[in-house]
Amino acid sequence: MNKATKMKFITGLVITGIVLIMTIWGIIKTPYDPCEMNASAKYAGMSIKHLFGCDQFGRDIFSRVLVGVRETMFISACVVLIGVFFGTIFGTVTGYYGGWLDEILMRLNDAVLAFPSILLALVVIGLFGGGKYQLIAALGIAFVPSFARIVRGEVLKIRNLDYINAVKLYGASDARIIVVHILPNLKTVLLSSIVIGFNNAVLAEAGMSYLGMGVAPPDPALGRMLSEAQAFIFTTPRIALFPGLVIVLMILGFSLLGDTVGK
Amino acid sequence: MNKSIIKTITSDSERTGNVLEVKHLTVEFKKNKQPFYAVNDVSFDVKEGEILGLAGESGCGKSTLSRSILGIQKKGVSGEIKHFYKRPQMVFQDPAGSLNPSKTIEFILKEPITVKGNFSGEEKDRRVREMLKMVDLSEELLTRYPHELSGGQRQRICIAAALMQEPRFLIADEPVSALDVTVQSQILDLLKRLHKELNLSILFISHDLRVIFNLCDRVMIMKSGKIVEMGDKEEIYFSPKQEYTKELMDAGRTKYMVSESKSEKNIK
Repeated sequence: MNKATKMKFITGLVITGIVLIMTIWGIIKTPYDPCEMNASAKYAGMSIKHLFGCDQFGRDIFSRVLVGVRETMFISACVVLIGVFFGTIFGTVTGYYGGWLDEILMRLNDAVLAFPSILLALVVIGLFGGGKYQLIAALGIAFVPSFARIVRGEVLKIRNLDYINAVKLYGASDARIIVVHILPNLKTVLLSSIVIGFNNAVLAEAGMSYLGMGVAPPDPALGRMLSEAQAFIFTTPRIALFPGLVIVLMILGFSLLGDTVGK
Repeated sequence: MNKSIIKTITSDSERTGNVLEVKHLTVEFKKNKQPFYAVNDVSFDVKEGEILGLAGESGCGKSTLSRSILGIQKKGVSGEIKHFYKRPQMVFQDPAGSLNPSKTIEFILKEPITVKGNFSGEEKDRRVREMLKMVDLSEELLTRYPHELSGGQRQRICIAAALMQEPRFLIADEPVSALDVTVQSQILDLLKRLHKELNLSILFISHDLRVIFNLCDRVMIMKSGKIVEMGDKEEIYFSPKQEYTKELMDAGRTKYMVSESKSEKNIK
């Protein structure tokens, strides 16, 4: 790791650290109920009482951002988990066995990859209705192909290595070769793609909630806070500023980490 | 299709004094839709207790031959391969690629007897330690990972792992080509010793004529997929019959080894 990469890595780590602190804060307790409206605090400015001020209904923006970050993190984590889990299964099976199964699954993969993930998620949500868990399922499905592709490529590389040939000569079963000898060697490649995938998941979640899908109102979501604040962008830009800033922070942190991890 | 090509015969009555019999082995690749024979109608036997050398220039099909004998290469293989002992093993050319990078040496050495055979944990420990002693490595290495070992140590581990299941037949595919000369001779000495102690038959593949002369009893010369000449090493080295063998021997300057081999005999 050279000096520039090290700086990138540390910056990414610090930013992600801040995001994680916000997440934990959101989990434990927010200063105000994020949905509580307070007519006397409408459009309140930044103060000790309301760190980021209040929105058009007098709701505390800081609390709403904290909960929004928490929800985004939860959804992104679930999405990546689904993507990694099924992607690894599909990728290993197709990469290891090859043949017609590989051909079919990979063409299916190409078909899914051809759609932008947000469009695909829109289709799934259109079919099954909106909501947090539907969003997780929709984005999760959209994320499987990219992980499957990465894992497949790596498995293809590993399965032709001589240590796999050696283990085959010992008479080991395919299951043992895959689980004991191939999967542990995927961790380096998976680690960086998990971080990058997380980054994409955050972006996709924010995009989806901006379009009004995902976490149901009045519960806060970063994307929807942005779209609701659009009406006040010239009068009270602060309402849009903070959720937007947090989204930028999250993505910046993860992409810096994703670029540098494993180098 | 491939299962039928490789047969393993273990009944004593059918033993012929060979560990391996290969008949009309052909490996066909498709190269731009043109058939290309990496191995072309090759027949030979490996006798029990001998070291058979397989020499030839790079790309002549030595590795493809060895891989198809063990069933690693499956596509396009035809012919007949008879093994007379179960689970022959192989030592590969690149000792870095033939050890799982995420496993400790202990795990790697135990793997062959974990996969096959019912051994208790203690018994496995004992056998791994015995094997380490046999290949002259210290027990300190057990907790290390392959990348922490030198090339020579890695190749010793590869040999040890290949021998854990007590095979009677071993294929060594260029086992010393990736090593420097001093380590080469150590590994060759080790193979020679194991060959004697364990009554191991070896098919030794190399492009290095000196190494083969040093180690083997009989020699096969291979060129573009075919066996050009085969016989006792003295015969092949000092009175080659085929033009290609002569060329190869000239290129390898093997005539200077005459005195060496004769003096060796005098000592004996």
